[in-house]
Amino acid sequence: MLVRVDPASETPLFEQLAASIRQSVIDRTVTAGDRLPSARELASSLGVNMHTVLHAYQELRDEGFIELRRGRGAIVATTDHSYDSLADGITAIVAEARTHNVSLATLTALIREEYQ
Amino acid sequence: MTLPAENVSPQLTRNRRLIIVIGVVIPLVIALAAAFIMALWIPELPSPVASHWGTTGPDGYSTVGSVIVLPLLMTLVFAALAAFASWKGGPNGGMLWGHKIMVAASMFLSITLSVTAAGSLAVQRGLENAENAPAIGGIAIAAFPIALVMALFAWLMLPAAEYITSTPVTAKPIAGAATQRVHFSTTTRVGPGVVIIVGAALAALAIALAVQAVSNPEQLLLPAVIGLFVIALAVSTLSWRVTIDQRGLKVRSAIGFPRITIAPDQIESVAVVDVNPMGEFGGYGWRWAPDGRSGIVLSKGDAIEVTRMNGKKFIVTMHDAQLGAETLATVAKK
Repeated sequence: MLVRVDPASETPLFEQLAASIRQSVIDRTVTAGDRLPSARELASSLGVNMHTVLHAYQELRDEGFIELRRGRGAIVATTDHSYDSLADGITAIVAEARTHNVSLATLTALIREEYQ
Repeated sequence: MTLPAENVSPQLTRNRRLIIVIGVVIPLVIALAAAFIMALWIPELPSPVASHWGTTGPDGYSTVGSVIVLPLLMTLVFAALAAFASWKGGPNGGMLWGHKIMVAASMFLSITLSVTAAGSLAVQRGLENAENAPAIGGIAIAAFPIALVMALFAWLMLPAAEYITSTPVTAKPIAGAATQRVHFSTTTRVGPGVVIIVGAALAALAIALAVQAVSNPEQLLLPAVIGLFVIALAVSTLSWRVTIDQRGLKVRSAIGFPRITIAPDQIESVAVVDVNPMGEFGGYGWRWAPDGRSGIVLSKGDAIEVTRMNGKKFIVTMHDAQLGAETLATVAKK
């Protein structure tokens, strides 16, 4: 599993962390039952605050990507669905948005509107 | 052995014939001959016979049957293992040096076991009581060079070893801002085939310890300590945790020790290589190859190859080696 963060970026660190790990689950670099590094380990590895990592882990738990168990750390959760079809759809939507010069902010807003 | 509709090169067929003759048939004939001769001696032998010697003379006794059967059984098991391990041959149809070692070792094992067992019974012929058996250190010392010479002959009879050379592909750093930080972690472990073999070996070890515990409990401590140490060692090398970050490469066994760390400033270059554990490293685990490379070799296929500043190469096999190598290259660049 690859985690990349850029402290110089405007995106909050915990969001960058969550995005990296989420991506690893979606592209199956890590699979159900795999243990993620402990928050302390990942924090010292990346030189970020442990609470930032915990924040990202809680975010991912709320989204159903991982399970947090006391004493066992973070485990990749079992999901009964695949993200493959969704990923295909997103690729198509993004390509469509690009051809019409629709900005990311607009596209995100449109998706949010549709979802609610 | 006939295999259905398999397209086998003439070279491989020839090698397999050699494997069967040198690694299986001759060792078994030697073990059988020794067993036959020992069986002929049974009427002249004390019961029980001395089967283990301490510094002052015999200190372990067993039935004559087990002294006769055990070398035969061990030869059979190892010969089967040697044939099984070398049957497929190398990627180009030749024999890898790991295969040659297995076949030659089968010969070596058969002779040392058979000669030692037969010798230990030979000195007890005509004795009323096995406690008076003379020392057999001389026999064991004599068996060793004979076995070594025969193993060398076996090695020379086999075709020249096929060496596998895979071309390392240098990994490029991951694109991104200079301020980005990366963390890569993965677990690398041996495949199911190796687990079965290790499991069988450990089960045999556990049974041997249990037998010892029942038959000779006062002498259990040393074998138990050695046995548990071997089990811990085997288990510790089956699964490793790999972490790559700004501190470099860290490889740690499942039980926490041993561990290897390579700091970024010790890294000259990082590449992905295709590894053949048997052919290049002679097996699985924490390994050294004859060409000077060392590493954690757990599976056939992709591995990260780190070249250190001093020119030494370290290898870790893993399923996502490409991503790992790119991460390490990113870290080493800084």
